[in-house]
Amino acid sequence: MLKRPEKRGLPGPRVRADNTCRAEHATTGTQTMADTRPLTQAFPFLGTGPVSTEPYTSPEFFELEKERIFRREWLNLARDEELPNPGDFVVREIEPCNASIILVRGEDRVVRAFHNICSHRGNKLVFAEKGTNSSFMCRYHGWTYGLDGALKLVTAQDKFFNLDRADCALPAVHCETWSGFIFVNLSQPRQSLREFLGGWADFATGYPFERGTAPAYMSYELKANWKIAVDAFQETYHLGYLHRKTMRNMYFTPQDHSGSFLSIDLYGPHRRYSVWANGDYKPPESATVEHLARRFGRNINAGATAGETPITDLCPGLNPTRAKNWCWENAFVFPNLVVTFTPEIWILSRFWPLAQDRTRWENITFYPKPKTASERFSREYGFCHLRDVAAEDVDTMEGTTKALLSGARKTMHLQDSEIGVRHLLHTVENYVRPKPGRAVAAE
Amino acid sequence: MPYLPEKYADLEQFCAEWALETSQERHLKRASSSMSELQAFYDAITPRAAEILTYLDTFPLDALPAAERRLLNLCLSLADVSLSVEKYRVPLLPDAPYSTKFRADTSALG
Ligand code: FES
Ligand SMILES: [Fe+2]
Repeated sequence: MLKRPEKRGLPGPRVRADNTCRAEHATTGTQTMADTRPLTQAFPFLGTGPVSTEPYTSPEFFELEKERIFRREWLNLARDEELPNPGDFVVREIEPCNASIILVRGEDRVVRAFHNICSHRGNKLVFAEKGTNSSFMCRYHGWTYGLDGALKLVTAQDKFFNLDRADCALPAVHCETWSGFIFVNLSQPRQSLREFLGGWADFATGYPFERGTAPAYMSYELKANWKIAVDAFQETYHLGYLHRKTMRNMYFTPQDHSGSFLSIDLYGPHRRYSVWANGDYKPPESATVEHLARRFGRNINAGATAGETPITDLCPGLNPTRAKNWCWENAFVFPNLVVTFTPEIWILSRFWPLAQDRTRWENITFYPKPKTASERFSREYGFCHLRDVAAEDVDTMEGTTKALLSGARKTMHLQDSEIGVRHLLHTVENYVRPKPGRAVAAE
Repeated sequence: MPYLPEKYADLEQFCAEWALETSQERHLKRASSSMSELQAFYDAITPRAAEILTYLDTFPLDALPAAERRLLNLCLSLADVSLSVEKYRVPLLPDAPYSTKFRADTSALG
């Protein structure tokens, strides 16, 4: 663990051997941020100046992102729980690489990944989104493959000429799992998944992801650049403005609308930051249903959860400053996975670029399976609220993308709590147009 | 066959429109209703919601009889509708028009 900075001492840059840097605020009160000195200074390699809008608008830049980021890096496609038994499979699309991937659990219980293509004449092998199979048979001419990708059966084999059956196995894709997150890498990985996750995995170790046995889904095809979509999840500045009707006084106070957060760590290309809630938030007396939802269950949307942090016994990386008004942790795994950790539920979003100005967004909230009707009711309330909040984000992502495409502004301006936006741009630049000698996270 | 548990039979008038099976259907119904329709539904269920949920809690959630399930579905509609009534005072926020286009699915919650 990192040492806390001396009380009231300005957070200095702390770069560890694993490329982790931290900045944090000294916290005193439970209602608002007592300490509002800039965190961005802790990361001098990010700078503080305006940033270019070109990465959001340039088609050439987008082509490079597809090749240099999405085709090269580890990408999260699924959770382990989606494939509980041998023969269980899911098919997932990686649109920026035109790839369709079969994830399947073998008889040996190992999850493997294959390109979804038949070796005969290249038909798409599996058309279902998920299922359970003992083998995969191509519907075109009946070639059949085992769960390990080996070619098991060729129909009318005697009509072929010197067929090399070993060469006709399904093309395997590198696949590794960390804490139930199944990742693939379409290239020869430069490092293992664990090495790639680095300090991020240390931070998230111990979180009981498997408790979220009841996933609730939201998905939508955004008319937005993928980074603009990610950016909406990377700062809390907008909560007091864009979300003033949906989240009134939950995550900000009448005194503090600045969006400052409690602390932030950058782990190479990844990061996490701690968000505080207004511990004084109470629904108005007249909001009978909101009161009911909060009485019967607690979650991120049914009100702030300040003051309760037993989850840190399981996952000590959460709320590293142990602030009393901590309510959730927002985390990001480069390039396209956002994970929100709360004491009871956790949420992931994945963003899949379809075009420079289009993105497929998948959002899953992992709830513990409700045991009673009242708990079920409370979860529905939380989900419906999150849907309204997300709808505000979506309209804004699309508006931002459209406006930037006008080319009328060449730069944008980032405040202190928009470090995540700055860090994503910085990381993307490093992948797309690497400068010799520049490390991914820190210089 | 009773449509709702007898004690709540007077809420039957709301079932055709609001006892909907999926979160997606319930949200579409909220979005396509007028504020006065939402208010009428809210006013009918809300004063009894705590009592209804306490009653439903006497059953295992995964084995609710059909009438009780319909009653729960009414409550799940109320969860969504209450956001319009208690927070926004419009069916859908004007700055957030696409929530009805999301593919949403809460069926794993039971
Ligand atoms: S393309 Fe699959 S069997 Fe012919
Ligand atoms: Fe937002």
